[in-house]
Amino acid sequence: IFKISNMKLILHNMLTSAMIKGVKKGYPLLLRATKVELQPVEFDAGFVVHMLPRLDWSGVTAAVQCLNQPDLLQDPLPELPPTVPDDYANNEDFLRKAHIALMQLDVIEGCLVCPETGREFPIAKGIPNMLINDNEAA
Amino acid sequence: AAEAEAALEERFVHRVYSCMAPALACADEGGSGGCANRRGPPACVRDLLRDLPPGCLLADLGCGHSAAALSRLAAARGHLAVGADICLDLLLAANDDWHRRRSRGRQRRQPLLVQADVLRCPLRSAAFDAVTCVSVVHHLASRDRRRRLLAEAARLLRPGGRLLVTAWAFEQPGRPARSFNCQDLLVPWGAPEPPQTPALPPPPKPPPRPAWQRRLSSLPLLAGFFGGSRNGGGSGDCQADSSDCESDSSDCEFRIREFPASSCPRRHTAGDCLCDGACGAAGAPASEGRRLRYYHVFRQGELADCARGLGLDCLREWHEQGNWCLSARRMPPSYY
Repeated sequence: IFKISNMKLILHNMLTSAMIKGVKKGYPLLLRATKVELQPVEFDAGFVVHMLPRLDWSGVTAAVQCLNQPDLLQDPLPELPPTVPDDYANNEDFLRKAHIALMQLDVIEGCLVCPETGREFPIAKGIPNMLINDNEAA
Repeated sequence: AAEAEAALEERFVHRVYSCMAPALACADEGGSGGCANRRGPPACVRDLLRDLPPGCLLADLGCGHSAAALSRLAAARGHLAVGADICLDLLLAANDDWHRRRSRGRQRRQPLLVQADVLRCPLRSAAFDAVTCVSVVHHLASRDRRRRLLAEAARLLRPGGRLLVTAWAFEQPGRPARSFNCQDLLVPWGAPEPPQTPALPPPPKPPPRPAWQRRLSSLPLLAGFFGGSRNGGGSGDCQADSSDCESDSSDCEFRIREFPASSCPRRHTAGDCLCDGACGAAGAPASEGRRLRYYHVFRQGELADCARGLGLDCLREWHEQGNWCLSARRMPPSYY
């Protein structure tokens, strides 16, 4: 009945596969999406300003790049600069683009992939499954 | 032993919560039986969210179905909460809860959820301003695993970040003060009150132990694991029918004192066994009343002791609604 949606890029930004044995960094995870939607989420500049210093911006741009597949999304992806501009706190244009990337892009189906081992973590019903087997654990 | 611990948790924690997830989803933030009943996140969590400066990142380890409630509260203060739980059913229940409230016209930031083992947490180190771990650590079956959870929480915190851990207390409120008669328990779901044992009576003649217990007492690995083999208090009421339990004995490898049946309002029939009724023991109803959950209830100071040497500066420990709460701060790397 209700749309299940949850796997946002702001969550992707915090996820790692470093709990797998032998993985050195495990970040950023590759994003292989088969179904993406743009959710209506109210823009809150203050929230984005607070979150940006806590995020890894290169992970954000990498994730958006992963979603840059033909026919994946009807709407265009936001164009993000490679680094956060110095005036980000007052740069509404940038903040709005960051907001779309972080809070509105929703990966409904697909998987996350460990960049070092290729191990896939499925996203089902919008929730990424990051459970590993005992023999994979560090 | 590590496998036995994980098996115990699988059997008497994860499986139980999975089964109860639909009921929890419908209960509209109802009590979780056994734990301190509360509506929404407990006071200590609310206080933490208020204490933090606006716009913080929070990780909730073992978030369960109340991830949506925490997310709403966090959003009200401008924070963002990420919930991690091993049980998909609980996470879906949290999502359902959020959607239900959203449809009533309340727009709130959606909970960010990830299915994960909190002992192998897939979240980046030093990325979070705060970590909450509410009523989770008491479900872990060994001190080693409990410390591992706290170590993971510490890893997630940036230097100066705040940790809040709560666990069911061995010492329970009341006049006169009461306590459990054992620290490792199997508690039936829906048991409203902890057992009242203001003073331990002299133990009665122990009833004959079920076959599965006698068999396992020969395993040196488990000898003294929970200390002593005496059955005291009320466990005499719950006499397992050994033949019925035999098939499940491979799972029940711990001699844990069951929540003394005599102090439960529900009467248990003689055929009830220590398992959750899955083995089909005669008389064991398959209703929620018999779903047993494993708890290690904490003594005063035990949480702080568990957190020792993990780079955490323990600020305060206090008793709140039958739980011990611990507030700690992540020390910078040079300090440990």
